[in-house]
This record gives sequence, C-alpha cells and structure tokens, in this order.
Amino acid sequence: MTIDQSPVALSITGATKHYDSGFTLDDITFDLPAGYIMGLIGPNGTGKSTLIKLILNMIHRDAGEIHVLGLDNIADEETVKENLGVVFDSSYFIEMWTVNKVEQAMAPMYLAWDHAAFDGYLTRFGLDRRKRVKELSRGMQMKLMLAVALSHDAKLLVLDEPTSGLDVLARDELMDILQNYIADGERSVLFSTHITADLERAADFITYITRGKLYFTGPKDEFEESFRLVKGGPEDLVPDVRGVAVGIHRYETGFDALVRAEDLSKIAGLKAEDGRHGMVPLAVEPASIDDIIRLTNADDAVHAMEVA
Amino acid sequence: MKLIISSVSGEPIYEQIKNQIRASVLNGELKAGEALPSLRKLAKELRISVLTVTRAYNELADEGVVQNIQGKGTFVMDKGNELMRNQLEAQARTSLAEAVCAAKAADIPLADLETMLAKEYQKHPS
Amino acid sequence: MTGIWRAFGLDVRRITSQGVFSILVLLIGFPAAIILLGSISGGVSYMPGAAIGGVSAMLALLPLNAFTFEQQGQNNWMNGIIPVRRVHQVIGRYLVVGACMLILALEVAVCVSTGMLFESGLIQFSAMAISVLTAIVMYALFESVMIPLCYRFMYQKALLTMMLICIGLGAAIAAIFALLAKLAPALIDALISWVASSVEVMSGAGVVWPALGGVVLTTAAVAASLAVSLRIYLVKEF
Repeated sequence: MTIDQSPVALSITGATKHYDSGFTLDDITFDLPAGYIMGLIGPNGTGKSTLIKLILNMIHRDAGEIHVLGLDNIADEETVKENLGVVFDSSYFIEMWTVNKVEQAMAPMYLAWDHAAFDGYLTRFGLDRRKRVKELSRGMQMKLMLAVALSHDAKLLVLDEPTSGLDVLARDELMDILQNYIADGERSVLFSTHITADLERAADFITYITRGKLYFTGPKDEFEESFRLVKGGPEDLVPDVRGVAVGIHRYETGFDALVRAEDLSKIAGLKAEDGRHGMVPLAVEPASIDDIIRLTNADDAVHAMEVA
Repeated sequence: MKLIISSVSGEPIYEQIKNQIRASVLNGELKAGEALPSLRKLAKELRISVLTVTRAYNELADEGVVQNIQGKGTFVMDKGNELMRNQLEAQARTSLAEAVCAAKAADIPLADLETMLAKEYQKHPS
Repeated sequence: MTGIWRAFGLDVRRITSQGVFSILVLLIGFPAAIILLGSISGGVSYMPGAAIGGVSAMLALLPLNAFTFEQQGQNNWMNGIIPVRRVHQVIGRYLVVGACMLILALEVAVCVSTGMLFESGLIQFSAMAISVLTAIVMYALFESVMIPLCYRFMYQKALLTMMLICIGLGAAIAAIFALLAKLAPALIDALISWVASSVEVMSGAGVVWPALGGVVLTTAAVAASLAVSLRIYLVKEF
C-alpha cells in the first residue's frame, strides 16, 4: 500500500513568479498524490494565493512546470479546467445573478455537468434558486461555489481560503464534504488555509510556504513529528539551544524554541541528570502546526529550506 | 469494532488506533479473518486523515496483527501465527515486569509472587 | 470551437444580468414608439433618425456591459476558472459585438424603410442600403476602438478615453483644416471638389462600391482591434 505508485493529481516543479513589488514565489516543487487532501499553509501574503493562481494560469508563470492530473496546465488548459473545481474566498459570480442563473451560466461550460447533483447540493446547503448571489451570506456564497465545483465530476478540488469568515459548524461541514469527496480514492483536494485547526483533522499532506519559499512538503504527521517545542526560563536560552533552534519566541518569563526532532540530542539540560544543579529541566513538547508556523516566522527564525 | 480517538491525550492518533485494534485482536473482540473497515471508510468515520489510518494499518501489518491484501482489504490474522505470538509474549513480559516492580516496592518475596501468578493463571477463563 | 460558443454564451448572460426584458423593450419598444409618434404627429422626416440615433447608442454600449459586469466583484476570476481559452474568450466577445451589429443593421433597415413607407409609400433600396452600411461601418469603427480600451482599462476609464479620442480627433481635424485654409486654400478647394466628385461617381455606381469599401474598412478595423485586444488580454493577470 505504498503511496509512490499511485497517480499524481497535481505536480508542481520549480514554479516561480516574480512580482514588480519585489515579492517572489520562488522555486516551488511538490506533488499531491491522487486520492488525498493537501493543506497549503503559511502566513497571509506569503504566496499561497499566488500558487493557486499559477495553477489556474490566471497569472503568468516565470519558470517551472505545473501538471494537473497528468496534463500540462497551459497546453491542455481546457481539459484541465473541465476536471477542476475551484472555490475562492470571494464569490466570483455576478452579484445580480440568481442561483438559477448561475447554473444556467456554468452548466454549458462542462461536458460532465450533473443537474441532479447540483440540485442535490442546493437542497443540502439550503440554497434557494430564486435568491440573488448578493443576497447570500458569505458562507452561502462559498457553498454556492462549492456546489458548482462538485457538480461536474471534477477530479481535483482547489479551494483558496474557503473557511475564512465561516463559523465552526460550517467549517466542520466543509471538512466532512471534503473527506467524502476523496472517499473513492481517485479524487483529490488542495486547499489553502491559515486556520490550521481545519487541517488537524483531515489533511493528509501539508505544503508549507512562507516568504515565497517552500519550507516543507509531505505527510502531515511527518511535519508535526519532525519538530519539537523546547520551553525554558530566560536563563535557559543557552548557546546549544540557540544553535539548533529553528525559531525562538522570547517573552518575559522565558522562551519557546522550535527545534528539529533530530537535533534534540544536541541540547544538554533536557534531562535532570545533565548537571543543571537542581534546576528544572527544559520542557519538551510536541509542536502543533500553529507552533511551527508561528516560530518559523519569528524574528530570529533560521530560514533553512527543507523538502521532505 | 469500537475505536475512541482522543485528540488531547498527547498520544499520536495512529498509535491510539494501533493500540486499540491490537488490544481488540488480542482479547478476541476481533476474530481471525475478520475484515477491518476500509482505510477511507475508517478515516471518514473517525474524521482523521487517510494517511494516519494507512500508517496504523501498515504498522499493525508489520507486527503481524493484521494482513493487508491488495485489492481486498485488511484482515485480522490468526492469533496462532508467529508474529502475534511474539506480540503476546512481549505483552506478557511487560506485564510481568510491572508486577515485579510493584512486588519489589511492596517487599513481596519471589515465592509469594509465583504463588500469586499460579492463582491468577487458574482463575483466568481459557 | 465549443470554447468560442461557451464564451459567447457567457457574455450574453453577463449582458443580460439585469434581465433580457428591459433590453428587448428598449430595442423594440423605443424605435416602435418613435415611429408611432412620428406617424401620428406627421413629423415623419426626422423620425427614423431619432429612432436610429437612440438604438445605435444603446447597441453601442450593450456589448460593453460584458466588461462592466465582469469588472464587478471578482467575476473576472471566473474567466480563469472556466474551461475556455483566453483566445476564445476574446473571439466570443467580438462575436457578441458582431451580433449587436447585425441587430443594428436590422433596426436601421426597419426604421429607414418605415420612414420611407410613411413618406412616399416606396422603399428606395439603395438609399436604405447606404444608411445600413453607414451605420454598420460607424458602429464597427466605434467598437473597434472601445473594445481594446475596455480590455486595457476599467470601463469608466475606457469611456472617458474614448470621449477624449473623439474630441481630440475632431479638434485635430478642425485644426488641420483651419491651418490648411490659412496656408493653402487651393489645397482645400481641390480636396473638397475631389470628395464631391467621388460621391457623384459612387452614387452613380450604385451600392456595390460603397458596400465593398464598407466591408473592407470594417474588416480592417475589426481585425486590427482583435489583434490589439488579444495582445492585451493574453498577458493580463487576474
């Protein structure tokens, strides 16, 4: 049951985009195997939306390759987009349109449009056909995009910050839908979010982008397990801790240091018998995704690039 | 099969799944040849990632507790097989070590401990 | 060519976002009302002109609604999501303009013919054809400039730019004439007599030559416009 042999839903190699403002999305490489959910994470404004727009060829790619479901995203743009369902954080339908008109506009776009499925989603999400898009709440607008995305047998679902602005129930329901979506093992999901709680549950893979660079890509469990949080008092921030720390957050009563799991042994003072003369040993805890993001973006973070 | 996953226990989720399935197999709740829920079905029901379940199943297969059959699913192995015997032996040894620890702490001599062991062995239903 | 057809359909839906009914009312009702008024009040002679003027203005702005609605909110993102290549999106939009042009031709034909019928009971085919032709060529020229402007700028800015162009062009032509009148009056006389004689020749030759000229001019304008629009849109970033 190894993952390596399965088909790849999304393959990105060396994708690069320079903006005039100076921001650069640099050399991003990762794969999303078919049948899984990948969370694209990172602080706001560091490249997630840029990457999604590159996949959709909405912005110009300066370098690299992008393959969706095995097809080149530019050369085979039409076929790729027939099989792609997209949800953005703002509605891209014309506000004056009714839900019914949205279907009238979208159905001719897709060979595999399933009217019954769309109807089903409208009912399930509580969307009234006669309502205009502008009359829908933010959450309902997202659900409308989702209904459209799910109604043409798309093999890859791409969502850009779908949950910002949604309450806990709606977010939970979305994760339910996504898990259901991949249940057949052939459909995949890429969704970018800065709400890491959504990932804790159902994401299989994580791709972490910060300051325009790829920091990590791979199984979520591996991401979390490869770091530890080392905590101590202010006097405990000694050279051997600082030397291995990937990021440190200092505060009055002490510090949090993010350390790679394999570097833990380099820190003396983790065990009571290491000659710290009766002082409390440094605390070592598992690092949550939030901790990792927070500390790799702290002021004295070391920008070591790692690709799993 | 009953599985209860705690997200706050500090124990990795795949470990929890492993331990609970292994326990169910060892105490007979899961019978030999029985099929475990499919990877994706279980992931959906427990609301966790597919990879996590995959890892748990794979590691249980390595231990010999279950067997992954490509295309068919994952099935509980017969308790009589060697890997499982080793598992059970290791479990027995761990329990004994604990018993020894407690006995030493309470100053119970080895002979008394052996008697206690014999009594427990008789008491336990086969 | 499904892509082009899909793009065409989407643009039509954009344009009719506020309902087809209002558009139809304006396109059919307005000229009908004017014709009715004209025939009742007896001022038949100016009536087709007024109707045509109103309808032309409406039809000129109608395809541009695709841009206005598209530029609201994030509807332009939709262009990046649908399985339609950008080339086809542009061609589809030009087809919409073409459709509006055909509607205009029809409207002009009907209005002019109706006017002729009321006035003399006869339809002078060549005069009507010239009217239709003139309307189409002017429409094509206008849209050929407007569409690339709308691709390049936001709608309001494009309109503004267009007005400036028209004013600028008008001012430039007036200036040139004024200058020439001062410097070389003989040249102007020659120009005017040349134009007059050409018109004589053309009206003598019937409809064919002007028609040909109109077609060539329209085709050239639209082709150039399409090239510019494609150039702008293909590199646009959403």
